[in-house]
Amino acid sequence: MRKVMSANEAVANAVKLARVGVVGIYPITPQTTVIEKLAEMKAEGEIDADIVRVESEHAAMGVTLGAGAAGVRSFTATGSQGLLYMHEMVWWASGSRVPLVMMVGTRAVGAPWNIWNENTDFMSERDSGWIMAFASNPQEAFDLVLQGFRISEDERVFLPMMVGMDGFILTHMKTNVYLPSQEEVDAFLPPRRQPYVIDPEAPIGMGNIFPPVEYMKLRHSIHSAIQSAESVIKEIGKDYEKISPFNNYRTLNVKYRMEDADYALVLMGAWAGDAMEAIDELREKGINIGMLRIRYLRPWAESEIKELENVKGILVMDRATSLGRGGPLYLEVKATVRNQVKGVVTGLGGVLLNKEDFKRIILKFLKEAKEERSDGVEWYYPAEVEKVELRNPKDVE
Amino acid sequence: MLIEIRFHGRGGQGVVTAAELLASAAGLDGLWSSAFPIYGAERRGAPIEAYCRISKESIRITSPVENPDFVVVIDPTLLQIVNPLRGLKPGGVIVVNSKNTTLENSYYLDATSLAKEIGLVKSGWPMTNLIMLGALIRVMGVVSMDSLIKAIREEFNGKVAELNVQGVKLAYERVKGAVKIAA
Repeated sequence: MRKVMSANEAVANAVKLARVGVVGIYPITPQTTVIEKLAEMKAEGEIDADIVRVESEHAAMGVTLGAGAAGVRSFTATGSQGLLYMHEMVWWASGSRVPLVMMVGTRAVGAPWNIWNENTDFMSERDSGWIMAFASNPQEAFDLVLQGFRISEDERVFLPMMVGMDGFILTHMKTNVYLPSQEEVDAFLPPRRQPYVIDPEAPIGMGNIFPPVEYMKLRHSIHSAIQSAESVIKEIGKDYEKISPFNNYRTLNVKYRMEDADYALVLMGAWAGDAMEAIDELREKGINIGMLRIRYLRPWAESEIKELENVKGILVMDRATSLGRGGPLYLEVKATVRNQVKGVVTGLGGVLLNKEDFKRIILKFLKEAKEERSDGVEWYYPAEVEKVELRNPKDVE
Repeated sequence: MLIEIRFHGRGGQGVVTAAELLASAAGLDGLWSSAFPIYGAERRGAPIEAYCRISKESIRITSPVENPDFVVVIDPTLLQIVNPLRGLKPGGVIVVNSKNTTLENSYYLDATSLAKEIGLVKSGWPMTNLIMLGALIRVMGVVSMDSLIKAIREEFNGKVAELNVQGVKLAYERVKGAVKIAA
């Protein structure tokens, strides 16, 4: 069935079709309509899940993790300040090796207050030991959340998975989304199995103090599990074609016009759509540029990224920052390939870019690449912002 | 084919709902569509814009509509405050809630009076957002009335749904333009 819905509604439908048992909820824009939709589904009797309202995101993850530890398929959603407030429990979930899925509607982080889109919140969890995917349209948001339960619960992975999506730009964008039937999803996603569950009849301890070597070994096992998740994700992605043949999930990341590309643009998220439009127009002018869209931040599919070494120049665009260093994606790509890499940080706090901005950024990069000075990080502001005044400490008397 | 539509109105007038329902109706007609607003620190009365794209193919672009084929002005007082016509494509069409208009290449419908006439008033505000869709689909000739009515009934229930259905049908008949509309 194909129906016009927002990414948030699509995510709620994925949770419904996955027969999730427990949802820990605490509202935060731009994620709130996910949990509102789930609460509505519960009220209408469309889902059996226990919707547990809590007092904070820290507790929302506590509930979701607790349910997961008891063997129940569980889900939560958050973003921005909520994700930061949850941060401690995010690590507790991966350290406990408990499968669960969380949706992150990305949003800038305060201070100062800003409700608009930016990916820094999502990127700031990259060291936490989760499987991390990032959608570029509402269909992919649905697909990744649904696949997320199977990936997370796979015995070769056994880690929580978060699926990010651009706040408002995707979370609130209504477009045509294909939903497989309940029977198809049931065939794709078997009931949850896990080796240890909390059971009052047969008590076990979880997360108790670990001596140094045991602790380090556990961390090492999570590291290995994330790496081995790469082949699991491909396998599950291929199997997903049986119930929804519209997107290709046989690779972790997505190439666009890379076959004969001299230059590559690397980015993730919703703005890939506008970037593809820009690439098509530049191609018509004989500029051989392609795109690699990062769909999985963790695992970082090194062999897929390494293919970028075949191009003459790489441009990485981040809607996030590691302040004082550049964009997190830029840093990841730079650590993977031998080529010169240029980074562009832009689109923070809701700054919007269009196709013309992408063309401007790409053309400037090509000029620099030809002069072999396409290195370092540029902060790009769209054309309407004629002059941006930055406040430097040295300007303040 | 990619048709880009921009809606202008004020917070509380259902601008976002109008864009979303148009997208839903287009979806019911078997077309691809996408609709989204620019969210600000919205409050009642503040200028709002929302976007809708309709195509025969899937839509990749996610940035706001800057060069619309159609502009729908739900609140005509905005013409003096913001510039709803900015970036309008050459030959682009304006559909305005007004008793008349001198704007070039435009169509007009007195949606406010129509809303009052049929009793489509919420908290003292005549609800003109969906009525304007009735005018727009006539001018566009892409989305069917049947699908628009179906989309309205999927989103709303009871009296609100039926008043809006009545409203869009009347709007479809009453919209007038400087250019003759094909029957």
